[in-house]
Formats: sequence, C-alpha cells, structure tokens
Amino acid sequence: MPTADALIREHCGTRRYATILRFCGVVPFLRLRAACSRPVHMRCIQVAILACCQAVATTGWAQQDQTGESIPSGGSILPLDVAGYLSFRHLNGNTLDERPFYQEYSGSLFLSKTIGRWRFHSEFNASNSPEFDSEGIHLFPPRPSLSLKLDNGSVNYNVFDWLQGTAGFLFIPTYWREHRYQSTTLSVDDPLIDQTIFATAFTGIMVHGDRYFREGGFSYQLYGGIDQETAFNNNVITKGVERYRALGGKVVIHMPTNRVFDTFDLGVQRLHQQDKDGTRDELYGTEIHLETHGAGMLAEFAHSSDDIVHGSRNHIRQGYYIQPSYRITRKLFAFARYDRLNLDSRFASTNRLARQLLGLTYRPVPQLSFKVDVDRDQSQAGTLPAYYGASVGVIYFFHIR
Amino acid sequence: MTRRLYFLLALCLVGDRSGISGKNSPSFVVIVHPSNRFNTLRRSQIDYLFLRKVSRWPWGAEAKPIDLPVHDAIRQEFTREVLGTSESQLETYWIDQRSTLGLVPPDVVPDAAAAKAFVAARPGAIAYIPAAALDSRVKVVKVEP
Repeated sequence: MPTADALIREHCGTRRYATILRFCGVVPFLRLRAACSRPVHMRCIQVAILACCQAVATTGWAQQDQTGESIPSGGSILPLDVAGYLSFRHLNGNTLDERPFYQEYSGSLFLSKTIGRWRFHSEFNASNSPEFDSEGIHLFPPRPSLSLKLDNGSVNYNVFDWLQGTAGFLFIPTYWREHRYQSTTLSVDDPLIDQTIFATAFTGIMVHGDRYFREGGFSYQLYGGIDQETAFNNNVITKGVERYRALGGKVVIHMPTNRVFDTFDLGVQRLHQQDKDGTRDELYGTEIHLETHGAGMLAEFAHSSDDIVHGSRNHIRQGYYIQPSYRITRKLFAFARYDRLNLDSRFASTNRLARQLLGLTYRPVPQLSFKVDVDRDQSQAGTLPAYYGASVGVIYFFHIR
Repeated sequence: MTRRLYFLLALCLVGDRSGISGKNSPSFVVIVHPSNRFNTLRRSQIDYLFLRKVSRWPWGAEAKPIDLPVHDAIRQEFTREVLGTSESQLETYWIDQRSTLGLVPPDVVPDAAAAKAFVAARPGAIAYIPAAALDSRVKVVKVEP
C-alpha cells in the first residue's frame, strides 16, 4: 500500500501543494509572479492611478459637506478614515506537511474617504507569508518573508442607493471574499472554496445598488473587466496567474422576516470568463446567511464548468461549506464548519477534500479577537487517512482618530 | 408532534422579538429637521438610516444620522429598542463595513443639545434625544414597530 507521501507525490508532484490546500487553498505567489504575463509596469500604473484617487480624496475638501459647513468627525485629526488590523495566525499542520505548522503575521490598512456622492476606499496588506496568498497587486517584488500589496482600491459614485458605479481593483463578490476579514470572521482558516473556484479579484467596473423596502429588500452587482485567478499546471501545481475577460452578476435578497431574524439573506451569482484563445468558464454560486438571537448559519456553494469549447466542458470544480454558529455569551462565540471541495473532476481521487472544523472565538472587546479551531481533514476523499490539526489566531483591529 | 414543536419554537422567537416593542414607552424621541416630509418612520427604516444602508431620503437630501456617545444611556436604549442590537454587535458591524466598503459610523455629538442643534441646522439629519430635551426647533417622528 502506498504511503500518504507517495500518493501526494505521484498525483500532485509536490507536498507543498497539499500544505497549501490544507491551509487555505492558495498557491505560492512567488511562482505566480514569475509566470505572470502582464508587464510589471502596467500594474504599477494601475496602482498609481488608484493612489492618485486616494490622494485626491485627502486634499482640501476633507471636512466639508455639500453645504460647506463643518461636520463633527468624532474628534478625528485625519482628513480620511484610517483603520486596519494586525493579525497573527498559527495554523497547525498535519503529518503530510513538510512544515508541521505555519505562522503568519499580517497587517491590513484601510484608507477611506466619502465626499458627497463619491467614496474612495483602498486596502493595503503586508504579510510575512506571501506564498500563501494569491490575491492583490504587489507594490514591489515580494521577498520570501515579506510582501506588500494593494488588495483593493476603488472609487464609488452614488447616483441613488439603488444605482451606484464603482471602478478600480475590486473583489469578485463572493460572500467570503467580501467579508473575509479576520476581525469579523469566526474561523482562523478560510473555507476550502475561497480562492479556489471563483476568481479573487478583477480590474474593471461594477454597477450595483441596494433597495430596501419597509421590510426586506435586495442588492445587486453587475461587473465586468479582467479578473485574476490562480492557474495550475496539470491542475495541481501553481504555474501563474491567469487573467480572463470576466462578466458577472450577483443578486442578494434580504428577506422580510418581521424581525424574527436579524439577517436572512439569500444570494445567487453568475460569472462568465473567457480566455484569449476563446475557451470559457461558466461559474455560478449561491449563498445563505441567517442570524437570529445569537444563532447563525452561513453557507456558500460554488461551481465552475471549465474550459468549455463548442458547448462541451473539460472538467468541473465545485465545493461548498456550511457554518452554523452560536453566541454563547456576549463575548464568546462557538461555530462548526463542514467544507467540501472538488478541485478538478478529472482527478476525483486526488483533488477532493473535506474538512470539519470546530472553533471558539473570544472577543473581550469588538476590536480584539482570540480564536482557536480544531479540524479534521480528509484529503483525497478517503484515499488517505484523515488527520487532525489546530489553529489559533489573535487579531487586533484599530482605527486611527 | 414535531410540527407542533416547530410551531411553538417559532412562536417563542416571534413573541420574544415583539416583546421588545411591547415594553414601556421609550424615554427618547427620534428627531428630524422640520422640513422632513416624514411624520412616522418604521423601526426598520430608522435601522437602514443609522446603519447607512440608505444614504438619502426619498427626495434626495443626504441622510445624516447622528449618534450620542457610546456610554450614553439614551444611546444604549435606542440601540437596543430601535436597532435591535447591542453596542458590541454594532461595533463589529462597523468594523466589517469599514473593512469591506469604507463606510464609517454616524457622527457622534457630545450631548442631546448638540444633536438637536445639528438636526435643526441640516435638512437631512436624524437623531434621538431624551424626550425631556425636546423643543420646537426640531420635528419628532413617530416610531412604528
């Protein structure tokens, strides 16, 4: 009987990939950059434009509203809103890994400014483990233990609440991608489907809006541009970032519940990607978010039919997670999560993963989170023995006044 | 049997929620600029304004919700009774909104007098103050469940 290591090597070529799948489904970014087809100066231009938008936002108009009168700003001395978080994560590994554990120190900085109908927002991220993160635009070539990136940067114009336009470098609006911040998530680890099925981000425009009625409402997002997605060699080893022309949309219904639920949102989304050679991917996803009396449930499903030529797909990627949670006390939360991912239907025996997660999050104050997860992973869908691990995280959110 | 159990559970949830509005009348009033066209607002509509889910009034004026300081008893009552949440949950909500969209919480004024002066000076403003602090410079809107 082959050993776990041998199976990994035979099917994946490297154990590192198993490590990555184990932790967050992300692949080494250093390799991504080497194979990235877009010239570096193009990305520099993008960053510069976004930085200019931010700079404009910080100039003279800062403390004025449309009537020209000063607004109480809660004592802020800065002309824009500056916030961020510092995060430490220790993700305990398993017997299959070259590295039995993985420690990440990271920090994010959010710069925002609203002037009348305009809103500027950007997020910068620094991390000591760039190989585990494939999102963002690097501000300088990442080093083995440090990367500094623009994770998103955008300018939004509000015509009406139900009709807004945003342009810049934006996240693909899956629930976890948009709300993945460690200060507000309950788990240390991200779900397996995060970054592995839908692309992470795109450069382009989005038309979106929210419409609320006396009870309930809906939100929509329509977007188009060039998205970026991690690419695999033989579907298992990272070879670079692939960019596609992308057109997508999402609708979320905020169900009227007469306050029985604090939140009852149902969402569906669709994404069409087309490569330069004409092959296309068709993706769709659903999400549900329920919260009431401290009990909550979050679930997402995502499917991708890949490399469709003449109406026939080459393979699929598919996965979901279900995360029930409960607020035990005002400061203590418990949650469980069941994850499943099929990364490539052509290699069903090697690219299927499942994970069960149990965790606690303690927030003595909303800005500070202590998290611990224990997990049971079933890689290779039962062809390898399940293994157990634990992760801890400490996150501090700050707001500079 | 199971259906009955679910029904009772649902009844408990609804009953508990409606109980919030069934308590004694609140000690605060919600105030707007005298030119505001609304005489009554549902709790959900106030919730949308204070959580910045809605940024403009139907006639186009920019909505300017105003909060009292965090430890103010009137604010805590307003947060609990109208927004239906707690200060810590609200703060977590604003951490998420700051990170995700760059949205910031409503401006905070030091006391009810400042809130009243702010609302009296701005057509789109909305705030809450102790009922005893009310005067004719601002208009009270009735809060419907």
